[in-house]
Amino acid sequence: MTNKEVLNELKTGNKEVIASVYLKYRDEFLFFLKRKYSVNNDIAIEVYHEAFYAFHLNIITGKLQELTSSLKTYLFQIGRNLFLNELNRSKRTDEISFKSEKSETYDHIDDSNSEKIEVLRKALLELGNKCRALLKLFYFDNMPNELIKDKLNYATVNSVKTQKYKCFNQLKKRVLSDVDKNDLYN
Amino acid sequence: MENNGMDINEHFFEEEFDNYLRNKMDTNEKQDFEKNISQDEVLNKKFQIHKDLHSGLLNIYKEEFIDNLKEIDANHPPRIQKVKLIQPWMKYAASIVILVGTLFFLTNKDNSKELYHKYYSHNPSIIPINARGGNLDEHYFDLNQKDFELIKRAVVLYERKDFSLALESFTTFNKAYPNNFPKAKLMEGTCLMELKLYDKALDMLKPLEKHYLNNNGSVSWLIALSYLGKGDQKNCIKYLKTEVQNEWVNVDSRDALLNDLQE
Repeated sequence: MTNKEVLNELKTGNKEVIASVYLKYRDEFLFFLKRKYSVNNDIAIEVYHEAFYAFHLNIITGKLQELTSSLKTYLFQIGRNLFLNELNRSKRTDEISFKSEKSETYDHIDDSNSEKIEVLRKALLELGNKCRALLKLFYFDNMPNELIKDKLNYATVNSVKTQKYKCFNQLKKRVLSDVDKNDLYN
Repeated sequence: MENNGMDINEHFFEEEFDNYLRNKMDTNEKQDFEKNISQDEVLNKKFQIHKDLHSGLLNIYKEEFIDNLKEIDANHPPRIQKVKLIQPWMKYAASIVILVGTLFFLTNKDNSKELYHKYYSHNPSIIPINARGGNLDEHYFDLNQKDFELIKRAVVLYERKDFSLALESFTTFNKAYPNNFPKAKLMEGTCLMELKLYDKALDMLKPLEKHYLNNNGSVSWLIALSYLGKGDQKNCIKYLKTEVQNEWVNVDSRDALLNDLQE
């Protein structure tokens, strides 16, 4: 499989290819980071998770469309940058953790909003499977409506848009209802 | 305006919110959107809620994605490679060092140990202490009972060639009397030589060099042999030529060693 083919498979969320690429470079990356920066295994694997997530995100958001270097070089570069950024931050806070690291594309909810996230998580679980799948394809996989239509067997693109609107509003109602009870938005 | 359970305006704005948050707008569209949001408080509040949900969903999806990676790790645990301290270039450097070392050994065979054993006598008779059989010099009798027993024990152990225990006793004794009893210090030095602790022997013997003990050259000879024992032939030769000269009682031994070293 060429790099382009790999990127295409990753873009469509092919789980086997994701696992295969993830495993292909994992041990070498852990070894690289431990040798170069003398970090322990836990930190090294945490960095690799974050790097692989950022790599995946760059593909699905279209930020990475074509590789000018090898896939390995690109992935290692992301990991190295993430680690060095975190290292600089930890010099100020005396703590190394990648859990609150911002992704390259989206802002994350900070810890003060963790209660809201729990409410959202609960509301998401209460949605039907198809709604959950649709929202994930739309928001996380950044999939065009045309592809979502094919993947989830909708008749038209407009049906996808309508259904996405309904699913999202169903979720919003549940969240706001719980949030009102807990007074989280005031 | 309602259509199929949908508010058209709401739907339009939500699409706009999504397009903005998913980077689907060009620069001008973004600017227009931000301007509209900043001028409409109601719309701004709706957008903030939408943005919060969008961020929350991404956070949850990220957690799920990383949980999947952890599951892959659990099914295929990382092969832990020990980080080698030896870098690839070090292997080449080590090979060169070994090669050069071998060549040096072949062309400059180090015979220090061989010569040391040829010239050094165990329990050397040149030590000028009248303690053979445990009999000490008269001035040792001025010591208190405890220290007298200590030095006597050291000498007896030395005579028995039990140099480790003798060294312990001599060390304790000499620490108690740092400025007296040079013969006891000489014996501590020879214990160190017997135990092949040549650097420590040199530290012990050198201060004795100018002492009257050196009248017969014994200290200088032992210092030269200590250099030889540690393989430092250069300093041994230098020492034999400069220090072990006129006062040397056994000139023949000195010349013979110098001759062996310079061959």
